[in-house]
Amino acid sequence: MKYIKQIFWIFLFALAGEALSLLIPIAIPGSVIGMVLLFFALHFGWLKMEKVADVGSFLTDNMAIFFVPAGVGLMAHLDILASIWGRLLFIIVISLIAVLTLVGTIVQHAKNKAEKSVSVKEVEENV
Amino acid sequence: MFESFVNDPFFGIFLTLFFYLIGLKLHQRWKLAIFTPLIFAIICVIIFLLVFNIPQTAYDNGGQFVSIWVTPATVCLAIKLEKNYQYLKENYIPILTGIISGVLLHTVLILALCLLLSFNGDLFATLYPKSITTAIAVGVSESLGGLESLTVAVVVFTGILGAAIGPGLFKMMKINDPVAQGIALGAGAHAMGTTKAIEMGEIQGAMSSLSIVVTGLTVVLVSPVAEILLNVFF
Repeated sequence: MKYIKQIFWIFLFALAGEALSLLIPIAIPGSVIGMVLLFFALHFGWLKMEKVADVGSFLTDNMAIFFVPAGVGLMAHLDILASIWGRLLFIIVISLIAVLTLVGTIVQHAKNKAEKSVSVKEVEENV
Repeated sequence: MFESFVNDPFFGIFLTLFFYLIGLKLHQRWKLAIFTPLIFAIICVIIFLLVFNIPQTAYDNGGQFVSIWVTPATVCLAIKLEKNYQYLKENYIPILTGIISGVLLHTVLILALCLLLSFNGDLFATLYPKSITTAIAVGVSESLGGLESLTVAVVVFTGILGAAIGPGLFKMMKINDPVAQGIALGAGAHAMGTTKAIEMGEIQGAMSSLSIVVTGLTVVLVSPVAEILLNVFF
């Protein structure tokens, strides 16, 4: 019963997201809209965390299996993959290294800067 | 008889669960990328279907019952976001600056490399969402006209590679702040990166799950720009 209720709430947000995605002119996946709606509902206390937490965590923790059929769809594109795999690999490696390095560096710098200005303020206040 | 057997939805569902569980067992014993349950299951199902000459449509009768859960699971990422919201509130400027720059750099880089290696627009659309979580990536790829199944493969591979090279790269680049490490892993290598981040520490793990969601949303918001780039350059 508890789990049925949790599934009900999750499906309700999924459906609302899909419905809104049809109404909104920009192409945003319904699942993403549903996620934003659920976040607002949880954050502003319209829906209590325990109403979705068990089934929700089960779904996100085991998400990988849901993508198997989509991956199997690759069967239809094996010929494309065979002809481009080298270039594909090159793009993946280069862009991955660039993103990891850039994001890490920027967050670290910005955080250090923010912390420094906080500690300067604290010193000034103490003086 | 064989035909109606493989067309039964339970055949596809069973095949999916069976190979996924074997992958899980193997991965527990040997931490090899090839045994990552998702990759292992995809490869085994494809080989199985090819060997027994079973059409993909037959498998998909069951497969669609499995993939239907992608949408509710994506919706539930909101739970992770809410649980880690405190971190975002405390560090929102560094986090958002980092993630937005990352997404923009990624977009430009994918565009440049696709043009350089003479990939067409379909492949740009396929690769553009590759650093985000599969659920959102598939939606973005579909709406831009990419090859969804190739997006899944590329996303998974990116994640595995990111988890593998992340820690070494951070050491080399002197990125030692746990928040920065977590955000970078989530932004570059989504859920697989997060698995590694959790191993690295509690803050890294929490920041990484937060980063997956924020990066996914940013990519979705930037995708109209990607669509314009697609129309201009291809």
